[in-house]
Amino acid sequence: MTNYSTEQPCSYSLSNVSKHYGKFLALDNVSLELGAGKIIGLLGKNGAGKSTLMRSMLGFLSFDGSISLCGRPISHRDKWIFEEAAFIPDVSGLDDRLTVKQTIEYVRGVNPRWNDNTATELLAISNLPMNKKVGKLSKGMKTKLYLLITLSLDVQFLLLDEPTLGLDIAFRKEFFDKILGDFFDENKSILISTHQVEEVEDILQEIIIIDKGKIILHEEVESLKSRFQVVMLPSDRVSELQAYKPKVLGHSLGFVSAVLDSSVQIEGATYARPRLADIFLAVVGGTE
Amino acid sequence: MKQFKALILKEWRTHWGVMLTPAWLTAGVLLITLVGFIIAWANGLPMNGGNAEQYMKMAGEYRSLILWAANVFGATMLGFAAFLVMISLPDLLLNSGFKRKCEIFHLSQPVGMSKILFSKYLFMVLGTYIQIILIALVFGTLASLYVNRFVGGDFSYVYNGLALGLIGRFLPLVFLGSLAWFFAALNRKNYLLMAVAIFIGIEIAVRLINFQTGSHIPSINAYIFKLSGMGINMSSNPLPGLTGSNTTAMVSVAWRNIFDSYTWQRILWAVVLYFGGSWFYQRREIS
Repeated sequence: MTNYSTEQPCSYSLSNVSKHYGKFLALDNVSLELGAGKIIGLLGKNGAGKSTLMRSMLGFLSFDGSISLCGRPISHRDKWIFEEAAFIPDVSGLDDRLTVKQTIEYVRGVNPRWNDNTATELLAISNLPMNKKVGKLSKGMKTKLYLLITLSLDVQFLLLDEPTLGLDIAFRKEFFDKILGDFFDENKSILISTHQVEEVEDILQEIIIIDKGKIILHEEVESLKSRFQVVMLPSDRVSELQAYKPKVLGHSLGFVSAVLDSSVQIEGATYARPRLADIFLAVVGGTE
Repeated sequence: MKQFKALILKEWRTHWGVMLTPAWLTAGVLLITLVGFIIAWANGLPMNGGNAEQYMKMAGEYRSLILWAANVFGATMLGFAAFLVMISLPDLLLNSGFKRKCEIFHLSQPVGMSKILFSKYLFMVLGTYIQIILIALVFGTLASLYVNRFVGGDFSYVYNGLALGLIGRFLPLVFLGSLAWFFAALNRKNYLLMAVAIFIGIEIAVRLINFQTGSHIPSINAYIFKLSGMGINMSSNPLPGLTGSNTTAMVSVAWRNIFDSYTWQRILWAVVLYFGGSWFYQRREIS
């Protein structure tokens, strides 16, 4: 029997992973290596395959191809995955029928990775109403509780699927600060799927862009930003930008801009460092 | 063990309302009885049961039999209340997480599926049964004490009757619960409709085949009805003539009939349906 160590930093490895829903191909031959000590952003349009990818990585879905975590192959509904990885889904998926206290007691009882010390520290500063039913909490409070539970687990990988959807900007900032401060270190990794790219832009080290089930880009953020630039010209010179066939053109106050390869030089143009959102649009394109 | 306890506790905290259906029904019966007493009292009717001696005479040699039969009946009624739990609880246990969008939360814990499923099944079967045993013991004793004031009789027949009623209903209920478990695992949205449609479909098909070919394929619904039957099959050991003197013989015949030719079939089907349902449940995808 293979002995899989959980003390060593571990990585996710996906090889030729495909997933069909009937005739619809949700994941198309996805191959990825997600190393330890990384904060990785997973970007894609709605329906691009982000959630399917994460759910396959957690064994929630059956799939073709192979996925391994810490060198150990993952099968559909494997329980051991959750000794190494924790997950916060895109919907407030806690059980509304339990109180906050019962929810915490439940996870403490079923999850051997539960760390009482961390949980006590987090609880002390959380101001969560312990005897209130989860169903009566605001969305922000529910997310806070989910986060508290997740951060109280000694796991190597954290997968976040649109965790801050519908939350106000102050809470979203607090959420990511907490993740960075209380979870992340050089042995642990975080995979974040989000639409609010600008909020996580400064913390991400790698970017994965998925479109129509295919991984179309997987690169370190710094390298990616150095490969592209924002080129801005007066609106009457739009044809000079169009000559490079950009997927998206930006318009603002008499100027037009596009994200182009960093080697492009146009006389009289203004250049700027691109944001991730710009690069995403340049790679994937706008709405169809 | 710690995981198992946490799982059972979670099931209790999320499904206690439905689980306690027999207790709610018992409380309803008690409430109606209490209202009856209050109305009787308000109308000046005697509250001491009237002439106890007269009742004793009426009961005559059947005193113990009355106590026994009343408790068999009481336990059987509780069995019907448990029946409601057994057909509704599997769907809640297996599918309420999906319907309430919290399935991912529960299933993203490092607990084996077999342990999760067994804790749910055990909660359903033992939880329901322990509950009706407790209700039967408490209210069987209290009600029999009250009745015994008027009819007298051997009080051991109270517990004999309760035990017969409770044990006699156990396997039919486990069979029914397992059948509901199987269909709830098969269909997370509307298991009852699916089960009814399948059984009606099979019944129609069987009747058509029998009609067309002249064959005598037995009815599957009749078979299921027998397996889930609430009555005690007396056919193999018919009762002796009912007289007060042969109460003991009658009770012992009833006990002999408690395990009939369907007993092993109930156990076998319960095992098959539990594992079959669990297999389907484990193959579900979680999105």
